[in-house]
Amino acid sequence: MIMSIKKLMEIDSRYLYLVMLILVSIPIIQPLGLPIRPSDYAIKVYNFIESLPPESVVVIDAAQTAGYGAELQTQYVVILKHVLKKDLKLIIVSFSAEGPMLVDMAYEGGIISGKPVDPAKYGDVYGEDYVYLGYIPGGETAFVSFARDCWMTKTDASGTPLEELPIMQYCKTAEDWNVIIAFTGGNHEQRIAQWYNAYLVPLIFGVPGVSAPRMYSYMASGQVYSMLSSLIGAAEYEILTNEIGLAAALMDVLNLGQLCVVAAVIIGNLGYIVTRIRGGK
Amino acid sequence: MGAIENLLFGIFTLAIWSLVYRENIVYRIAEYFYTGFAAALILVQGWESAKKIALAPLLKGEYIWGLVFILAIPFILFFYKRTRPLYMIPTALLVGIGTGIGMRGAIHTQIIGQLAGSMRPLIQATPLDTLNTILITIGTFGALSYFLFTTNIRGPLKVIPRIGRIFIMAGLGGAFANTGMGRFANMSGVLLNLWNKTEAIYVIAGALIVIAIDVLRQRMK
Amino acid sequence: MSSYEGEIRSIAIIITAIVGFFFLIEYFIVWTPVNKTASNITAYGTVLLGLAGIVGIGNLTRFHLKNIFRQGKNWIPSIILLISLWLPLVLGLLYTRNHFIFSYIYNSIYLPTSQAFFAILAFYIVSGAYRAFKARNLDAAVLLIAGILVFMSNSPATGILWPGFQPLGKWIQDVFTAAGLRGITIGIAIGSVVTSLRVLTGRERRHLAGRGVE
Repeated sequence: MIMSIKKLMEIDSRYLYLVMLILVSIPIIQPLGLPIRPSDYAIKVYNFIESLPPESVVVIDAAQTAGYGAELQTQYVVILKHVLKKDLKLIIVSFSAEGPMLVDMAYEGGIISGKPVDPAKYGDVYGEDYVYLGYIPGGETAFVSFARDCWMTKTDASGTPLEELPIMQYCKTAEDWNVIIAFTGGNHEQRIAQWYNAYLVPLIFGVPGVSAPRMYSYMASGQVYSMLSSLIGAAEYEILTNEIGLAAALMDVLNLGQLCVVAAVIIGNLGYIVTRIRGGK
Repeated sequence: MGAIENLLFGIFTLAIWSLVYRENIVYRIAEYFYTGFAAALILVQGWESAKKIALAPLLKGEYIWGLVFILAIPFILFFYKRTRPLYMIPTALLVGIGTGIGMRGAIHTQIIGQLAGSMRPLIQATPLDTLNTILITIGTFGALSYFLFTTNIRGPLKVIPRIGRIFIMAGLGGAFANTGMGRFANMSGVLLNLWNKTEAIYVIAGALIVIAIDVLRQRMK
Repeated sequence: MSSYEGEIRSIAIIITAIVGFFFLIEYFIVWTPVNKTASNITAYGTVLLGLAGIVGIGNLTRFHLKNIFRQGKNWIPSIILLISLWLPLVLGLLYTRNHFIFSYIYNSIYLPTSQAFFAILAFYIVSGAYRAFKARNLDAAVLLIAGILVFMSNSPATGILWPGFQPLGKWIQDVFTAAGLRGITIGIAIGSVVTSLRVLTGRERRHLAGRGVE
């Protein structure tokens, strides 16, 4: 018995990978429709955006990357739809090199975006209700620069001078912002420092799962208003805004994948305990 | 996405995932392709930004922006042995800016902000909030003491870093769980597209055949 | 080593110190000429950082060209790297990222590759959880239990088994994760402030062609 448990403990990892792949592929072939319940954090973000007065300036930092695409891009799309629905002034800017490609993908639709987002469907006009300023390199230096002068790019992403875009009259410096929503996998502390701590602008993050643990201490101290965490945050927000999309469709796979890890931990520890009790190493 | 795009999606995804089977040249090619394009993407976007923010005003008469391009020349001169040291000048400027800005941000946000967040009245409106505040305060100072005191604390005070270590372990457990969630979120996006695209399924079938042949070869050896 | 490298390094250290301390002090000054100067310098720095990629590309090209000529390890993938680097780079610089080849490569190759890279870690998490995540002592047991509970709370489907998983997982993250990682955050911040001071005072010079640490 000990030998078979030992063999099980020393099984080639590739068999584990195969079992995991088969299990997480099941919901793609046969969706399970497992329930999703919005968390307090997603509800807080939703209520905040709902409570913004008309013509409030919402700045979105679309700093998502392809690697975190399934997490950040789904969050970006659902928040974008929510903000476009309301009578708000939306300024989109990217502080990551891939941001512009993914901002375009949101409008065109794509493998990590789901269906295309059409601002005209919500009655929004480019240049009056929303604008995309393009990519600004430089990390924290760029955060400082943009907060001090939102017109630093001189033109929007397609080359139109900012003077010709009426929406930019609402946004000259960070003091004009009502909220900033940043979708990013890194540089969170730098954004908190240069936006929240410097200007006390409410800051909402869309983060990948790997970055979420760091945000709890900042939310506890009030430096971050709230966050959407990973694909689950996007799915919860889709439920809240009634815009069911890609995130909700992927949740079954995510659920099963996590349960696979829990099962692996429990089986691994059971084997370890049994081996220890019966005198093995 | 057309047929060729689906095929490319399947090929490159499985090329990367072939690493879990074993190291191979197909993985290396995909990895190197990715690295090359990533580097190109950063400079292309950087140049686009430089054109908008600096070159356009320079051409309109704001000659101060010429300084930026002059300072960028040492980046090219870096590759000639004689002129390599000049690279230190723009680097020093960028490091100075980044260090100055970063330092004030770190102090305000991560030290003062976080310490202030830990120093709340212990008695809160509800018993649960009171318990949470007490735990957070104890945990924060315990974790700090575990890190900051480099000597081995003996005697009755050694319980403080021990408690800090327990909190850190619990925190890292939560961090591991969130990391796992994130990775499975990425995997879910990949799998959905792999299984829903016909051409990608052919690539999966091809990959399985290659693996089967390899397994048989290993057995025959 | 060039004859003037020492002098240039000294000038560079002085520049770092002046600029760094200027930005530190500017934080406390509310006076338009100083604040405007700081804003202008950060704007210049932003553009300069965007162009700094030139060095990375040059280094990559040099290293992989050498590898190809010597037919070193992975010399065939090195050819692929140089093609995937220079073709999009030239097209992107001449025609912007909207050139159809550039965006085609991004959407059809780079994006799936990127996602696959990040997703591959899911495999290793499963094997790590199976092999390494053992409750060998109290610390490991705490890590394990917290991890399992947070995993269960992150899977909303576990609400079917017991509705308490989600609030319990949230409590662990709001209290234990927040407290534990807060201590780590403060510790890291103190370390980064000390390192920054070393850089500004010239004791740390690794950023200047890698020579000299006091």
